Amino acid sequence: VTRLRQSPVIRGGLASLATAGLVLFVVALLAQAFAAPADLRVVGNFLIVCGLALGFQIFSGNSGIVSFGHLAFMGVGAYTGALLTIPPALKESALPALPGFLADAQVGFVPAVIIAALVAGVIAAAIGFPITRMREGALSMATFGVLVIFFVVFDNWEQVTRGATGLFGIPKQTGVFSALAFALVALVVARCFRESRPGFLLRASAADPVAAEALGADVIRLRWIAWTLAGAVMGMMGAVWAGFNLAFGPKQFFFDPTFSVLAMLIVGGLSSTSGALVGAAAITLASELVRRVADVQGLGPITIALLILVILYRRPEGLLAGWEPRWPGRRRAEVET
Amino acid sequence: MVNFAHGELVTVGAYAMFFAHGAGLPFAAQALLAVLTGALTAVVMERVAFRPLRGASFATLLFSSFAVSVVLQNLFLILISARQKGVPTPGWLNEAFMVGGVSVGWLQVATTFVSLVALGALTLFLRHTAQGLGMVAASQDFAVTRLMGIPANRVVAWAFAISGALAGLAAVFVLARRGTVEPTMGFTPVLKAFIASVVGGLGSLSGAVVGGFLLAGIEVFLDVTLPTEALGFRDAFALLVVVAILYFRPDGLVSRKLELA
Repeated sequence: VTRLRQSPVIRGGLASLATAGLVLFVVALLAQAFAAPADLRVVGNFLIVCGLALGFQIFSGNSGIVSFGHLAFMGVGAYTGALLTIPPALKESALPALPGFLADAQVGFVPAVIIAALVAGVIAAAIGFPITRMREGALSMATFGVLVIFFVVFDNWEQVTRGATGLFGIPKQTGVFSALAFALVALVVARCFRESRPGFLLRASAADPVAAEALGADVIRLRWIAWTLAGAVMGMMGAVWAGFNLAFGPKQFFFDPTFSVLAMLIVGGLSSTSGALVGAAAITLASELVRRVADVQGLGPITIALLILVILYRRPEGLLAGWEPRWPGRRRAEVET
Repeated sequence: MVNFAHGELVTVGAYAMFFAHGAGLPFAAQALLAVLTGALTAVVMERVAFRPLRGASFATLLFSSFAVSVVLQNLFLILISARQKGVPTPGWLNEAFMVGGVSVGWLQVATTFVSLVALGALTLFLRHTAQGLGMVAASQDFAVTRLMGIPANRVVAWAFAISGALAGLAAVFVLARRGTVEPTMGFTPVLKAFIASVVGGLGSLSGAVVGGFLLAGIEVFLDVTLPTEALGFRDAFALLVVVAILYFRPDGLVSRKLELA
């Protein structure tokens, strides 16, 4: 028990739950008690987007390599979750060409989310295998290719995704609290990975790849693990997102949302899970404020973009610059960058 | 450096043509204005997104230029219009002549000719002038270039001006093909140009040309060979090939080392 109590993984997870988790819980509670339905949706989507930002953080935050592609795995999760929960009768009319096992399938919300996370994880593992072997610059470019390739597939695979029209008719099974629950799962996974041995070594490799290799870190393997884990978390949050928004199309896994999730990581600081959450809060607050003060199309993105530029000038490490809450007790050495 | 906002330079050039046409200027003046506006915008862009962040990581510069691109796109949206604006091209560009039973459009001839001239001029400039050599040097090692007494900031500003002018030039031909201008028009052609230059090898002029031909070749090949029901997936297949090339040649097909040797 003592060894368990001293494990940095467990202490990290507990610290995150006790701070960020508690804040998110209070936000969800207040929203459920006082918010109007429209605002409740905003809060629910904020909680989901926290999970998405954490998914990006698992790979990019620890490896130091920007991925543009992980929203593709959110898409995989969203389509998987939707196809598993839409009633078969509706699927028969809307998607007559759907393969048999998918056409008849209908499972509850939680199993659908778990299956979505697994499917996205397996696909991410397969794609990540060659991708993580690439060198840093080429890798970033290739993730860009991943994003576009998946978009083209979502946009054209009429039999399964209904193409550009998108899917609809997902039964309403989620509220703010299930969004919260899965966001917390993402938080704990991301924080525990960050503090775990592979996460620690991966961060070391981001600081100095040659030195990390020399100390025995298998950088390619570590990147692949983080990439796959991130893909699974994105898939999970994708299915939750689909269950919360009930209808969606391929564009929601393409450039514009990728830009806003990356903006969150830049603003909050991508090297810590708390940074991802603070960034998600900052971007959501900023765009909601702009929307309420002056509802002009295009003003929101401009505000976010200017926010990015100010942060890059003034605080290139992001608002939190890698800070994480700690569980009281003996501290372990940190990766110095 | 990779400038994500390069597409917006094309869009700026196209809007310049739109307003010049509205002011009743002749086609040649419109084109000149597009080139000048592109160059000017590029210089301003360098001041805002690149100079304050000199020496920052690849990802940081990618983000800052991404942000500038979003600002510009949405400014067009708010200040001009989300809708497409038509700009008529002079009649002769749309006509075609016959060569041995094959119809050739003047627009294609003009596009090819101007591209070749621009490419030739750029090659001469980069290889045989002090400014051009300084530019190549600054791209490889900014600090050492400065130590050699070259005003590297000015050289980079010139590089942006030239790339902006070329974007303006591209705007003339993109506009002549599609006839309309809208806030997001720069995105697709520049995404392709970007992919082509990465595949060919960033930092190498011949690489960009090789990459451009290769990407176009792959697309046309897929257009011809793919069955109709799979045509929608063309871009996915093309990118798959591109990612595969990146996998085996991370520096691009024509790597800088090869060119130096």
